[in-house]
Amino acid sequence: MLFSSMIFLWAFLPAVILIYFLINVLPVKDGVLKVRLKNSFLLLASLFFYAWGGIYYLAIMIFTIIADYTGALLMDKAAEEKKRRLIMVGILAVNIAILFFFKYFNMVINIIEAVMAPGDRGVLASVFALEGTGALGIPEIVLPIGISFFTFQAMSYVVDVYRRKCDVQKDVLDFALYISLFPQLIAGPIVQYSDIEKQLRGRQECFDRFSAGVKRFCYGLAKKVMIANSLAECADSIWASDIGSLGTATAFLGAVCYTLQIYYDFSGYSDMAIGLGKMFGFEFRENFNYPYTSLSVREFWRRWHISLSSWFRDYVYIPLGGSRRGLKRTCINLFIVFLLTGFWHGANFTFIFWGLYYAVFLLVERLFLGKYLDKNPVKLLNIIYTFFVVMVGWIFFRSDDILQGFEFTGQLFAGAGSAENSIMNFLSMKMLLVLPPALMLCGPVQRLLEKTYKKYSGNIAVRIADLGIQAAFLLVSVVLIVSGTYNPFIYFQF
Amino acid sequence: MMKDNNKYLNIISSVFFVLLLVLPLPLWLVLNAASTEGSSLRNFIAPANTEKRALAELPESIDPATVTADYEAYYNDHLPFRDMMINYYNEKNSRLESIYRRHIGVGIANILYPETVEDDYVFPVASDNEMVLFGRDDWLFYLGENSLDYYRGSNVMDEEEMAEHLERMEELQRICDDKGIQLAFFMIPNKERIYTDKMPTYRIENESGRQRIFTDYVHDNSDITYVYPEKELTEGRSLVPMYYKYDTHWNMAGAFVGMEALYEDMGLPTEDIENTVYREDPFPASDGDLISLGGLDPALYPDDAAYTFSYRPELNILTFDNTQTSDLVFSGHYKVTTDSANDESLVMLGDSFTLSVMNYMLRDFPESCFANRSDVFNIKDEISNADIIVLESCERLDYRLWDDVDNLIEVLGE
Repeated sequence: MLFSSMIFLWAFLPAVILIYFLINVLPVKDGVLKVRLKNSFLLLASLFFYAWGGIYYLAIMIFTIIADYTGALLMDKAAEEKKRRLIMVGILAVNIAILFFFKYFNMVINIIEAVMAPGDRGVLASVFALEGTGALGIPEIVLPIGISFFTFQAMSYVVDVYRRKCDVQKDVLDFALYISLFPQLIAGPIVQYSDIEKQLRGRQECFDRFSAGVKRFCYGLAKKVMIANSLAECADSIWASDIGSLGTATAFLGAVCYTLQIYYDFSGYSDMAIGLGKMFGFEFRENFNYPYTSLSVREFWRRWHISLSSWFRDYVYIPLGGSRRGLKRTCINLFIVFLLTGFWHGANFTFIFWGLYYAVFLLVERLFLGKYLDKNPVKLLNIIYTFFVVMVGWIFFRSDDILQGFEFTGQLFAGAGSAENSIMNFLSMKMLLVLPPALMLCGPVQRLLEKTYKKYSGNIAVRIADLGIQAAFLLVSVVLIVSGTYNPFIYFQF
Repeated sequence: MMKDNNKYLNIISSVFFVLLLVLPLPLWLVLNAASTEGSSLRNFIAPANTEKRALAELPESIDPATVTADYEAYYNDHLPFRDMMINYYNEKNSRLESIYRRHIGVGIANILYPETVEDDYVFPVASDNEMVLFGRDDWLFYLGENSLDYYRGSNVMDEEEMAEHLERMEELQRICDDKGIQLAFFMIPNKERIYTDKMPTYRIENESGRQRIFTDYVHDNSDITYVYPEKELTEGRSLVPMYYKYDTHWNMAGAFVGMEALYEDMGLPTEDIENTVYREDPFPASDGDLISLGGLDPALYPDDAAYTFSYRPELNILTFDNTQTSDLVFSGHYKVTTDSANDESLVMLGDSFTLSVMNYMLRDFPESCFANRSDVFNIKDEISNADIIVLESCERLDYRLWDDVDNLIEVLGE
């Protein structure tokens, strides 16, 4: 179930809100019991939410919950450090095995098949393009939605319990709720257990927080539906055309549209998740902090998908030694982290390339470029440099394979392209209305007007106008989502 | 005071948000109950659905693998105020994109590509769903089913492919000859082949196009009657329009001209088109299939016209049996008897283009059957007893003609 679907907006969410707050107002004097009832209901709702996307996937998540819950309990009971470590490694191995099987098994099979029977382009090209032929006759494994997120959450819990950073959760229902809580289940933010531990037992729902959640949700929905989906139409059209005949202008349009699309899509979803969390009394950490205003690639990774980069920092980079073991070790650690970051995003060499691409830039900045960037008085140049690096990274991220990524990047400097792929073929009123605001509102306006906003945000007129904007965003988003179900045919279809 | 105001605003926004999520369904139920079919209120909240598809129904059996997707499809197709919102969006989107097409896009093109200033259509514009192409003078064209490939000539068949198809057609011809059945193939040109001057500017790879080349191939290598009335329809344009502006189909005038071309090749009596009386009627833009397909606002398009030729008014239709397999207008077949003096029976198999030409042709035969190609196995008796069989296809569905040939071989071989 997606947040930007009508079944969520008009059926699931209102039902969950009404029942949850009905429980909240029940005349139950026992506060612990009341929290238990609320948590149990939220858990049921979250499991239903997940099962809606595929009922069989629920079994995988429940298995993950039981395995990590049981493993953490055993680990907590173990007296010897060696035994505790062994159990932790065992549970992590189980989680990684589940993730590997569902996410990467197809990739392995495709590589083997490409080697066994390469296509016309040769072994190497076939491998990188993951051209599976079906020669091994192994059926494709379907990827359960959100598996990358909830296994990482589970693993963070296990490690935190091992490190004694948090107490083991003895209540299986509360633990299940942590793993499956629907606001952040499908697309994050990745919530570390220590951030939510206390909130599971004691959180405060109030109109202030609910209203803040509504605002966040409405803005996030607008980012996803009004901006990201519109930009996606243009980006998808350009990527579906003959890339080799794209001109510079069209290639840049496609790259910029995708760069903005992925930001608004992902950050919009995170906003909705954070907003929904607030409605139910949960406070999640921010996941995006205007990353496209970054002055360096290092800064970009402090502002983009913060929960993921924090996870890799806390559970991979720092345990490997971070930057405390000399330059050579730091370089190796950075490569490992970004190789895994790329790998986490998907089972394609394009994601691995994308991760390593960033590792190279981070090293370059660490070794010498960073000094110049810090000293450069014309910060606009820093922003342009960072934006360009990030944009080219997204080209590879979006491409079907690495070769296509290089081809598309090459077209940025191609000059004139074919008439069929002229930029005019991809412009429309929708693009003119969406693209400029998308460019301005991905951070520049907010950073520029930050102080002004803080000064006037409490003003009653501003607040009322804000409410009007939220309502308008919600209504327009609903109209757009409903219009997306319009599926006409030239002949009558059944 | 400010703190109290903020508190009240928080309460209002929270309640308002929940109401916006909860109220649509009860409001819909109340308004539906308060209005009657055809009333202005009902037409406002539930305008006619123009998608030409059966809306999703509640699943009859529960398949765990698809049950949630089935329910969600049903929910999406039956949302409160769905058609109202879709119509509203389509109307506003059409207007905005029309402003872009007519004014802004042209201006941008003139700045970026000044050498194309005399041709405003060198950068073709399509509807949001890329199903409808905006041509010159408000003409609309269909982009689905690879129509552009046919127009640009980028899908011509090679000799081997053409020979393969001809071989099958000749086999059918032999069977028909043995049974004393006159066989004809009737290939209706895509609208854009007749109205190339209304199309945006495209690079043409092969001006002859797939069907003109195949028609010549059939004529050069066999005696099969294969009619592709491109020339006749192009000439017919000088008299009256042959196709609808906002629809994919030929109009009744185009059907008449096409029929005359078919009759001429089949050696059947023909009429003098220029001296045949015709009637002009308004054809509202909203009736054009390309309007709804593209999610366009019909109010932006002036009415088109329909031209119906007067044909054999002296003849009478005696029986008209309509046997359809669904709610679709043409999913099954029509069986007609008239008091025509001709002693031959006709079976015509094809697609929706058959419907227009049927209105004329049924008058030429005492018994005729016009069937959708998918209904072929339900009219075996009619096929076996036919004196004339015509296989019709529109150009963009020409690949389906080969299936029709195979099906007929199977039916006639029984």
